[in-house]
Amino acid sequence: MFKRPSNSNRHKVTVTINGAPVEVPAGETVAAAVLVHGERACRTTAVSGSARGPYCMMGVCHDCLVQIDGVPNRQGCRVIVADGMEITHQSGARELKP
Amino acid sequence: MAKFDAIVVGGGLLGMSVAYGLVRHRLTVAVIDEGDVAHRASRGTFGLVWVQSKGRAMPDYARWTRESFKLWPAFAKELHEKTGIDVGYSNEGGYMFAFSEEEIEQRKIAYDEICAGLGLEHPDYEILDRKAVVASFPGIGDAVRGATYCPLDGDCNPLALLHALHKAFPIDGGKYFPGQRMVEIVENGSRLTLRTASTHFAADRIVLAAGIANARIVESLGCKLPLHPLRGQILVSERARPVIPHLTHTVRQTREGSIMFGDSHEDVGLDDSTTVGTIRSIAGNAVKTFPFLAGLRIVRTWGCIRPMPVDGFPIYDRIPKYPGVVVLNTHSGVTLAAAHARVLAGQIADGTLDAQVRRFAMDRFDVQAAQ
Repeated sequence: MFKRPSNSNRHKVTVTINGAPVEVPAGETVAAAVLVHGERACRTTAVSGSARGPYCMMGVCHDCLVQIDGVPNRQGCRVIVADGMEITHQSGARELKP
Repeated sequence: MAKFDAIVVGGGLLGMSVAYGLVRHRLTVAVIDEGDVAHRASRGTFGLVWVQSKGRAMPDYARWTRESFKLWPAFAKELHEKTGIDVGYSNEGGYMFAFSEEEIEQRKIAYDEICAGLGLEHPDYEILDRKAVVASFPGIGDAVRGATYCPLDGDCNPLALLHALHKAFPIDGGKYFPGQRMVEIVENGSRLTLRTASTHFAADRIVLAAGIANARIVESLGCKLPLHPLRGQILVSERARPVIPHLTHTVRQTREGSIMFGDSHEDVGLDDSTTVGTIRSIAGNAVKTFPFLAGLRIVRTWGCIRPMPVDGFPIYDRIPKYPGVVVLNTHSGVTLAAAHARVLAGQIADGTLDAQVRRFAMDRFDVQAAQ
């Protein structure tokens, strides 16, 4: 659905999205990388478990929550990709271990 | 000029509880609400329907709190049926942690005094030692030495409560006027006129439930209100799976999973900003209590101004020179909401405050001054 402009000549970094290695231009946000990777949804909600994906892309709606390098509930649109970053879906509310 | 049996000044939890109670008594009622610039304590509440620890120096307050507790289940049910809004009332009991043996001892003395003041044969609270607390709260911090538990304590979703009251009020015929800052009250015989910046209202009685702004209004009526602003700061976390198994006084996990923190009281006038020092201290206390919260992300913090009568107890009184004007202030708009809607409003509608309610009149402050 989403495509990058073909004239992008930025250097690439490699991240994983749900375990799959993906090449992404440096400087792109995690939310954008998820969208271009073809994913509409990146999380399920904490209460009803329904699917959500990046929406406002500017830090307001909190619908782009993902786990990044094991840290849950991060706003994908507020984080820039980095080489080796592990991005996984956020499934419902986070877990804490008492 | 629009005429009503009663005008309520203030559309927060206290004003709306009373306004809703008044329309239930078939009065025609207008609520005049200032708007978003107002210091709304109803946005800064934790949502506790809290009984333990209240009324040590005033058994009438302990009794009044317990009366509201008894009315809460039916009140919540009625609002749900009427509006479709579940205010999330739960009364599974509440815990207040203690961090030293001395604190437990002092708590026991205070609570025994409350129970004696109420004439209870058996105290309605329990002292829990560390072992009992650990059994109820897996993973609790070493700093917690014990707790008091009271089965009467509970909580609700205070935003849902405010929403439900605002929805229920017009269903029973109430009229809500937002964005109306009260300017003055004028008395013409038995008729009262309330003027806002843009319009006039007439009424037989006026209920002042404007929170901290009551001080300004009551002063304009020639009377001093013994009230001061207290700032509370609140932290709300990202949503987490249920991890705080019971209600506590300072840490509360909502049904939706957010965890709320807030136990600060600062006397800083009308400054409702947040400060790094206080937020750090609230978070630090939370982690001391529940170390597993250390990695939890805070998504929002805010400050709010809560109106505190100087002795901590509610104020319900008439203004001496304006017998048709009733002034109401409390620091416990959630806990007392059921009593306000179901008992206090009925008495305001009938025009007679009974002996129990009159205990909360302002003359108690004169007595203190004379001692």
